[in-house]
Amino acid sequence: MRFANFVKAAALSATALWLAGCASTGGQSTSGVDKTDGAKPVETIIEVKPVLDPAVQAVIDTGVVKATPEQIGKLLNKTTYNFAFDSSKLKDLDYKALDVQAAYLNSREGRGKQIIIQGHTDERGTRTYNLALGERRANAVKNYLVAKGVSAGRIEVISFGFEKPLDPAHTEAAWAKNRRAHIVTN
Amino acid sequence: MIKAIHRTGSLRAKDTIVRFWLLAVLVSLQIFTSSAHAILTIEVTQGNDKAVKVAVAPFSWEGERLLPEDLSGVVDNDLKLSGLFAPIPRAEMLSFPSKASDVVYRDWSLLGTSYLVTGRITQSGSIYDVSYQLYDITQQKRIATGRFRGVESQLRNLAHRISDAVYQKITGIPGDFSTRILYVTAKRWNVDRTDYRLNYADADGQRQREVVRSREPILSPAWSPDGSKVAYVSFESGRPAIFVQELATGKRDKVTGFRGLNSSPVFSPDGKWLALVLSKGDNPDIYVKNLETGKLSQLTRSFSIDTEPDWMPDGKSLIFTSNRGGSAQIYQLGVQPQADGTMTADDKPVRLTFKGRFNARAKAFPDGKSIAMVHKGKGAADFNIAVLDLDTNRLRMLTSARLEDSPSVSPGGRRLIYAVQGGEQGELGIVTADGRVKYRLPSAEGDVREPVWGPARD
Repeated sequence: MRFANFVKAAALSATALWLAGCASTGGQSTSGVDKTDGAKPVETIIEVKPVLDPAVQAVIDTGVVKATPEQIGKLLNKTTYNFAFDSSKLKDLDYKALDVQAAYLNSREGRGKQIIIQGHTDERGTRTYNLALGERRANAVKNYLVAKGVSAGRIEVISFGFEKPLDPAHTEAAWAKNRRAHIVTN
Repeated sequence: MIKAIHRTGSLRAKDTIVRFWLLAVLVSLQIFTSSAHAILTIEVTQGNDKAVKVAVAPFSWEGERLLPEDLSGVVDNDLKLSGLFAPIPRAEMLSFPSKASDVVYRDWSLLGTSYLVTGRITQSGSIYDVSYQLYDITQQKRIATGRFRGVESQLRNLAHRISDAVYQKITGIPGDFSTRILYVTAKRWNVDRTDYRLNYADADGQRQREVVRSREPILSPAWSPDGSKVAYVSFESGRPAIFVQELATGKRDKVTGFRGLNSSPVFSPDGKWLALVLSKGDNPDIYVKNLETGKLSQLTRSFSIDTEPDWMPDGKSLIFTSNRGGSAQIYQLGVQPQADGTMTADDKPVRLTFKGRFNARAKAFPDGKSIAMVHKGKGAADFNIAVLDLDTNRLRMLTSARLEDSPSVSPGGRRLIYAVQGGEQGELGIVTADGRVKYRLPSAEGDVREPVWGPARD
């Protein structure tokens, strides 16, 4: 039982490490838990608590998101939202991620942050119409966040149309990648 | 009599052979020098098999040093680019006359030439004097002469003036060779770095000048009606703002820098208003700014995208793109200037386009009878230049490459310039309004886009 708990803790800690992306989160410096496989139990006394990325923890603490820390971490990392051609409609899967983004921005951790939402399009259509379309995409994201309680004054929308493609190729795949709204948190 | 002419002709031929070689050397040297400075080059992609044959004989010049510009070459090229004329190569010419008495009609007639242009350049002090003669070969008579004067830096202007005059004499329509084009070049290094430049050049792609450069996007350039100023959108601060800049001094004003879109500035035909697009964080709508009083008037209020305004030539209405009907289409809106310096608009715009699911970025022809636009065809990348006749409602496709954008009509209404993005690099395209002749202007400096055909220079 103790052992099982240990494995669980180690695995969580490893997840936290992975989520944090680096050792900036204190607490997991306990020796012997530096391998992700968790298959090498070491005698050292275990004081490892599930240590989470503070952002993930902050989202959990708001109590509005029902998801595992792992899922929350993933959704927090989702800052890019893709769209169909000539559309500024969010997809069903995006709402869950935006719920997490909103929860974070409303949390004690994210409360003071300003964000910029960039709107981008593919290269089809006219350059100036696409500037307007890019703004609609960014506004779709903004409006959802505002509906979830984020103050509109903290959100700036900037449309780049198709001036900044991720992929400059003239292919369906490149176009799909380039049609996006992107959240930048300061 | 015929014999006599013939004899004179052959005597002349000998004389011309010597002159021809001399000139050929000079001319080829000049062509080499000027093409080394060309940033936009011209490639004819579709010629006109019904073009009228003309001959532009090398202009005579007896100065001591080499002329910095090949003036007759400029005229020759202008006439070719008009799409109406097919100049015959110099190598086919039997003589290079510069006086009426040297013109042997029969020789030119044998070459199938309908018109002949000759010229003479003299210099006194810093002033060059260029005179030209236009001959109708069929009627065997001189039909026009004229002269233009200017300093060395204006030599190409003088040549374009001659092209304008020749074109007008033959077709009855003013030429548009003394005009300039404004366009944006973009050199993309990677996803995070692109260098943008706004430039203008002569309509033949020569003499490029830079207006402004930035690491952030530059978009939507527009000419003032007198060609002295340009308006554009620059993201140099990280956000879009509209600027108006004087070309001669470089002095510029920020016209708008609101939250959200600041887009698509375009001067009214009288130069007193600037139509533009603002979203102020909400939906993009059409506004006009009074350039004398600075007053801003909102002209559309909709929950849809309203953008890409252009003025009809009489200044009494605007055409613009809106997706209020569910897809992007062109609408027309009547406008009225008010005594207090504001402008009001009709309650409802009138929809102009009905064919297809996407019609955008319309530009009015100078006669106000038709509008050019980007029209989406069936294929995913089929965005092409089309012209809508406003009387008959007939939509005519002019081009057929992939991903074309931003048409702009020449001041004479005879040619359109547009952007082609579907290739390896963005290029400019020019097409005659009848769709017969097409050519491309790739840039040596990366992608080139958003061309705007400007007015003739003074």
